[in-house]
Amino acid sequence: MSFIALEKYTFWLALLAYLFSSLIYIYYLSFKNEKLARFAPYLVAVGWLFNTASLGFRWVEAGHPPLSTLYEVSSFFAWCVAMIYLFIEVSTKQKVIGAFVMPLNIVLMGISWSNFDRPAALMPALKSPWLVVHVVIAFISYAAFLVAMGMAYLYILQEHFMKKSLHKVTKMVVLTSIIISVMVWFFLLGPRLAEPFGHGQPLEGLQLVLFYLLGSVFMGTVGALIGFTIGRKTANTTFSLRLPTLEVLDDLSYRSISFGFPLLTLAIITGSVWAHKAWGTYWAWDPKETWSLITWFLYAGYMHAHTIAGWRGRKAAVLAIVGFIGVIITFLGVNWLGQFMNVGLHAYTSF
Amino acid sequence: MFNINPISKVYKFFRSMKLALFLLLIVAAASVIGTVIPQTNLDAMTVSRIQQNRPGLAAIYDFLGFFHVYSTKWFMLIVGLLFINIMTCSIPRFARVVKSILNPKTEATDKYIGNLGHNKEYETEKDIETAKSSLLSILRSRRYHIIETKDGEAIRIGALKGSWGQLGSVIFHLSFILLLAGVMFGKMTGMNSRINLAEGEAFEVTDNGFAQMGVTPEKARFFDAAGGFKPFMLKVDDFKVKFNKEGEPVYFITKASVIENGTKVATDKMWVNKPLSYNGIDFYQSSYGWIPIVDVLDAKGRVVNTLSPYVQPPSGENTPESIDLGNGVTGEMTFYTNWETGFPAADKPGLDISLYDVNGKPVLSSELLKLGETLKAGKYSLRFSRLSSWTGLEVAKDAGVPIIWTAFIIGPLGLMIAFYVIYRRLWVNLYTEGNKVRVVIGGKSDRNRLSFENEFNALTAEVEQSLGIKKITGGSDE
Repeated sequence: MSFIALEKYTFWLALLAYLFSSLIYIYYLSFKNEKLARFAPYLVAVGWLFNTASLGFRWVEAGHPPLSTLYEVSSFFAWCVAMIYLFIEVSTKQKVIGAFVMPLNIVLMGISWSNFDRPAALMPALKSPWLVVHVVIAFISYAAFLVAMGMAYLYILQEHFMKKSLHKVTKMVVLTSIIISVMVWFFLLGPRLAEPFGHGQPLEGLQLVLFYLLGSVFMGTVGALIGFTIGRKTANTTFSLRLPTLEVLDDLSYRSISFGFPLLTLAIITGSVWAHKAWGTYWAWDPKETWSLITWFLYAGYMHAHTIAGWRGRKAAVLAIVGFIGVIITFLGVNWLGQFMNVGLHAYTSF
Repeated sequence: MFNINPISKVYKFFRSMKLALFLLLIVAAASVIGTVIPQTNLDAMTVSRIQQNRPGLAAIYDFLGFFHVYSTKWFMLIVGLLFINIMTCSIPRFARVVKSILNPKTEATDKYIGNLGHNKEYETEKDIETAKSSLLSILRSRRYHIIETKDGEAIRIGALKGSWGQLGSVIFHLSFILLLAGVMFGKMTGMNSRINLAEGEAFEVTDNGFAQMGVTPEKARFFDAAGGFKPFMLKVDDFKVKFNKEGEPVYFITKASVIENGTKVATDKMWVNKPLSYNGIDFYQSSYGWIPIVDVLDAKGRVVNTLSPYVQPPSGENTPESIDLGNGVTGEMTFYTNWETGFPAADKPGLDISLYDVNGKPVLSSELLKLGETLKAGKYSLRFSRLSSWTGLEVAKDAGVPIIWTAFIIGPLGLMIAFYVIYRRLWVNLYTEGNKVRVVIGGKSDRNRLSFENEFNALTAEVEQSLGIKKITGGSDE
């Protein structure tokens, strides 16, 4: 079997394992089925191993670490999330967080899959030992922020439960569903469908804007309907009892961010040192650099708010979510904008 | 009184979180502009395309500085304000931290302890000295630093651990200031410029040399011998570019020598990610291109002129170079690295040549001239005699870099200290009341409240066991 086949099979097996573990976690959240839930972390671990294998086969095939194209880094992102999630579950014995984090891993694997590419030669600037250091550190920090965002989200949900404002729970689930649907459109379906079929012309200018806009409206509506169905069910169950306490959620979110923040700092620093070596400038204000700095400031704001201003709970949770929006823009938004505007310096493309 | 009020108001404004958030929002907005609108430093081609095609829009963008957001005055102003904001926020805090490290709070009233997140109160049958010594040994075994004071009959114990962890944040903020200082110093004393050198060509790193290359670096005066700078020359000995079979450049390497006072003092190679440094000047491999050398021959076969345009490596579209043979004969030639496939590897170099006479009558219309061949063009002949190449080098001098690197090392160190050395404090008060001793114990930590809660519970359990005391009130109440 060729390496590329092995890479694909292991990728699918990893995706399947993540999918089943997500289903079990969600089932556990809804019905508190302990028996089945015991297997969930093992499934995550199996998925992680397949994910590792898939990245490994890619490495062997490409002859360089699989950390340069969007396909490669998204898969690696999922790998980091699974690893951090497992660590948290084992050390805190909290299972419910998986119901939120593992589905996001499927989104990441989906982004990866929809950008699948054959391995290509690295462009000269990427041929540097800094590639591995910089990218690995960056994605571990992204993964920590993703987990922190999950916790912050659950915090707000739990708080609504505590205050018995169930209509707000429904609202939140609907909103989340809309956001996820629109994101699926923007990052997964849209870019695929915008490509020309056969000999057709690619969409351009106003057409492209309308394409994304109308698509978002459609997907948003679908998302709202799904969210409303799930939201009403959620609001009427007693699953708040299964969520960790507010204090635990706040603390775990804070701890994930205080793990991710020094890493994001290091990622920016290593990127800067590398850029200096490669291009003779340690900072060029390219969109990715700029947005990583903004994200850094957002999390710096979170750290300050939490330690100095004593912002705990709700406000901190909102900041943790806003910070993650910064991560999404840094990771994907910049590339996506690049499609429109032809600004791609740092973008993961098939070089 | 009249003076202080407005000043303190201004001061308060500068150190407010609101200002910080507002400034960050503007930075974010500027970044959106910088992401959406092409920037001159990153994509000069698209910028000039907009300037040509949509002059009205471009004029507005130019006026607002949207083509170079990050070097506009208003952006500098915002960054400057942010810097002041950070300074005014952090300096008073440094003072507090240093004071708290040198002079920690070692005594606490019962009321203070009662208000802490974690506190307990006991009564024991043991006498005050025995109770104290078992408490101290428990605290010591947990590596707490202990300060004991007597307050009449009462004993007050202050115990702390990891107080230097507070320094982490100070170190980090100082590194941030150091970083900005390094950036400013580097910008003020350094320069950055790009030069293209042909194989065999030498470049003198002096004001004159830069002028000859047609670039005037802003801070050229730093290359004056009078300024203490030892001038030298950089000579390109060789340039190589290698392509893979997909036609992508795999690497490009320049071999160059450094010549000082006419003698070769060093030879080195440079490629992307491997610069050459000499005398505080860094040379970075940044681009490359071709130089098709075309001899113009007269009727007797004598070379009367040589054309050697610098052409960019083809990336899909080849831009024609205008040529002038003299006697009114002008035209254009387009270079192809491979006239058959159009691939960027220079396997089958060729030139597409069109020439017109004074009256605009075509002399040659789109004729292909391959390497080594000669084409007759009216009175003249054109011979594509050789293909050479040029290497694009980024020349930079940035004395701020070592300062920035230092900040890059101590900054994360400070962060690690701040996050992983956690400042924990405990206070214990002991009172003799009748034939019993009352023990009030409480503590707090700045970070990791849950892990401190575990530690506090374990510690108090140990205290309970060793003193054999009965609980009066208890629990970690929050």
